[in-house]
Amino acid sequence: MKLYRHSFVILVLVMTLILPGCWNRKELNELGVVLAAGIDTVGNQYEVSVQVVDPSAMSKQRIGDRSPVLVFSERAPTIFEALRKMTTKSSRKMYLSHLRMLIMDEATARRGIQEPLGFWFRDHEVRPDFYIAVAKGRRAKDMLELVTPTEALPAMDLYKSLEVSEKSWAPTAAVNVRELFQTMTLDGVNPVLSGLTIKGDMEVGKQLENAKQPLSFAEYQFVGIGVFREDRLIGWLGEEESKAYNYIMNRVFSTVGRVKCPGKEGDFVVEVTQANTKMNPMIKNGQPHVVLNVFVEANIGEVHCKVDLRDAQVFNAMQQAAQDSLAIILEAGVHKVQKEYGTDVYGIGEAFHRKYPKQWKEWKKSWDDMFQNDLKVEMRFDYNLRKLGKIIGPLQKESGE
Amino acid sequence: MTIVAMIVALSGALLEYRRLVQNKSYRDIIMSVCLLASGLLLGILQMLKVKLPSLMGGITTAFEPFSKMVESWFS
Amino acid sequence: MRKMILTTRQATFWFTLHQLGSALLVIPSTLVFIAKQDAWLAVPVALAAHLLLLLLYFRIANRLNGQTFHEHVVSILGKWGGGLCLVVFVMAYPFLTFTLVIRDLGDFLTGVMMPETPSEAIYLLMLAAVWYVVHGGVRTIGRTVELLFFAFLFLFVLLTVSLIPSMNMDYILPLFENGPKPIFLASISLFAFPYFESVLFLFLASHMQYIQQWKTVVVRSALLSGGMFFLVVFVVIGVISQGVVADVAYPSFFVVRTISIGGFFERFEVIVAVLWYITIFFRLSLLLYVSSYALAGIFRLKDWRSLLIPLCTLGFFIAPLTWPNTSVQMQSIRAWPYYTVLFGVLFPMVIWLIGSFRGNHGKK
Repeated sequence: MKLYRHSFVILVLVMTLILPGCWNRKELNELGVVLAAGIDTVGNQYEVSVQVVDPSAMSKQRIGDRSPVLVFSERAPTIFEALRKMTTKSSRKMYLSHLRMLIMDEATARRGIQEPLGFWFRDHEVRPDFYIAVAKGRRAKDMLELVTPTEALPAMDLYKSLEVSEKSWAPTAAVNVRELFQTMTLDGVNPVLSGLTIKGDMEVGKQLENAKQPLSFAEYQFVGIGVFREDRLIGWLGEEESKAYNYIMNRVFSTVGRVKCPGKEGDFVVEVTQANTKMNPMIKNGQPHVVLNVFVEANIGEVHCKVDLRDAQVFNAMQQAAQDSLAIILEAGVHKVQKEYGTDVYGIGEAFHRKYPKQWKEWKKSWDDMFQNDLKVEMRFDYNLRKLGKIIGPLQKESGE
Repeated sequence: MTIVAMIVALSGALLEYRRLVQNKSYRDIIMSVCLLASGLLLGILQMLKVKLPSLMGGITTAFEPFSKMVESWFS
Repeated sequence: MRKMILTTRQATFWFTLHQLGSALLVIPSTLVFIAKQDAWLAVPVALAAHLLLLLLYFRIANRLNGQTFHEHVVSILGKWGGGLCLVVFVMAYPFLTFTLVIRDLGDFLTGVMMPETPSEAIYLLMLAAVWYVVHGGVRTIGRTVELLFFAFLFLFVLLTVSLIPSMNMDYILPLFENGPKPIFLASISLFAFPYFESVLFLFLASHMQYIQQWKTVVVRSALLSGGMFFLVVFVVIGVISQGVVADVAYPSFFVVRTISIGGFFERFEVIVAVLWYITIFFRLSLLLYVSSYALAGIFRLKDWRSLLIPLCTLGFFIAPLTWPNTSVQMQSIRAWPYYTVLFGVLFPMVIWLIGSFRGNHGKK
């Protein structure tokens, strides 16, 4: 009995040696950690580029002049093929779990993103937490080749910049893969992706020189928002329109806005500390009608005109001016999306779906058309200017006028 | 892999049978050997790449009409 | 051998984990595919139906009088008839489910975590652990479950709590978009899998001190697991919206991968995967125990332990045969409830009816 027990325990122990083993063992020095990937369309093939970190290049004793990241690219009709084909160029297997950014060029985005994205959803290694952007007017491969000064790893630079910028600058929309997946599967909403471009001299920007002096030769910039219908890019929103998009989507955390001074030459700037938009769909005369209730709280951040901020009346006028200017921005943004592009990126259709499921069933088929022609958008504002900051008046002599 | 599993199963079973023989539980041994043999037989067939029918495939074909029926009630 | 007694707490935990195992992983996707954003409503419906079904099981349990369930069946249907019925029942239900769960585990691990590992290695390791704990007997299982349940609970709370911040209530709306029908249809799936399997608890009724205790345990574990299903389905829909839930194979795992709180509280999906390991472990142990215990009872063996290794071996080799590919599996999930009705409802119903008939007869 005892012998039997013991021998079995030994057997089990031996099994644990052989079995759990290291079937899927991946040593760090055999892997190329992919931080960013780019998809370009070349002819009818995809050119997939990946930005790979060499883990040892990140350690303290790194060899001076070598780049901490490498870019590999390969062409194939499908993404997966291209990725595997890369092993012919690199000694390391691409490890996708730490992907932070996926960039597509405009041609790919216009051709439809659903197919090239499918792989990134299906593969087991990829975590659904990376951001997606469209390279505006540039190749995705260029975006990956840029040497960024702030961070040694360009992908991390992009990633962090996107996160910070989304929190403090309204025109930036950071869209991660989960949100994209959601907007692609729901009927009453179309996806958007943020645009990314490079300014400056790209040829120097690709060299390590780019990071060797205070002012870089080339730098990336997130610009505007790309508007999609289904999975195809159909156009871009400019800065103001992107801002409108983020206000309506309730994605403004903090931003600044320039407003013309009431009755005076010059501008003042408000810092928005809180913004909240409620979308309230209703049916008027059998037509869709949506009310946007925009609530904003802001402080004064900069004043370029001579006004007496101690005067409550002046202050109220400024508040009104700020509200009006926001209204103009939002209306222009909605107008552009609604009339020019005619694609419901705001998810207004989804709001109707939630509130009027029965009506939605009828509308679902022709929603794009209804959104463009029949939908009335009404906005109501509640704009509150609150504080002045550390000083009160614009810096000027009392007897100035 | 399959061979490792077979060896583990066999050696485990043999150890077990020593105890069972001591306890004179012959009925247990017969039952156990039958099951074990059918298990190993299946394993050998799989190793020889014999095409065996899929269990759930069979159940699905047999019970799909019911599921279709109920689904039609509810839609 | 009768001294194998489970405490109320041990049994409750064990039964709960049994019901959660593998269902927690697959069920959200199935429910959402049918009932869209209303899927969470299917959980209470299924639970209510289950509690009704439990009344039938309780009637049978009342007649056991200290007998085990298989002895009871044999006493009702006769030595040969009962024996044959039981063998078919055991092989076609708890044992088949046992192999399916092994396969599920292998598919899950190789599908989303370790695609290059052969699933046989995973089966073998899991079966060794399950064999070990079942070999120890009911009391060993009971103590193990007492220990691991709290690890499970901790992980479950971690999972749900860390998901709540990213929930968006809009995804739950609109309620009853397609009327109540899809909700009922979805609830059938949950009702059948895992709740029909509660019939197996009858085999364990003799391991409780009083039948009354057994009844409270069954009800409690149903409520506990039902509550957890409800939470998970609700949270998962709220976080990733119905379109995505229906489209991913293991939503409750997928959703963990999206968690990122404060930029550092992220990427712990492998830790949470331990949760499914624990539930599947106890699910397997219950199925294996019931299979071998019942079979040993039917064939009047001296020790049910002697069947463990053969059954594990058989399970190991049947697992690759269950379905050739994922599409067949997806399809089989839809037919499965109607197959299990035979065992979960029809069989106990017959036992009860014949039992009442015989019982009355006997008194005359």
